[in-house]
Amino acid sequence: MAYDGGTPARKALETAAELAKKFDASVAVVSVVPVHPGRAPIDPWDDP
Amino acid sequence: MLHELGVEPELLQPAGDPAATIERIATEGQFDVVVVGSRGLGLLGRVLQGSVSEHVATRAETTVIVAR
Repeated sequence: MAYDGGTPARKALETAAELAKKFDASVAVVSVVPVHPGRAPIDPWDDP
Repeated sequence: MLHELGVEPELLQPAGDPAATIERIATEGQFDVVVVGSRGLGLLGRVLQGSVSEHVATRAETTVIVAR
């Protein structure tokens, strides 16, 4: 599941967790570090 | 949260354009389902800001759940 720390992502995390429990599935959490041309990557977990 | 439910997640932290990267990982990782959140943007918001969830839902070659 895709996660960026925001409220919608937390809802997605809950949904993924429920599905994983119900179906005995594994979960991969993908947190993409945005890369913009000409700028250094910004870790979404860094303080602004 | 996942640990509390007894789920041990794998953490992936790639760099790149978020929408394209999630789409690529979903395809390459051969995941059964991709779950993404939705900010609930309106038409104008989606046009101006873009929507990662819309991109993934329309282009990923796997089942996509958009959690709201």
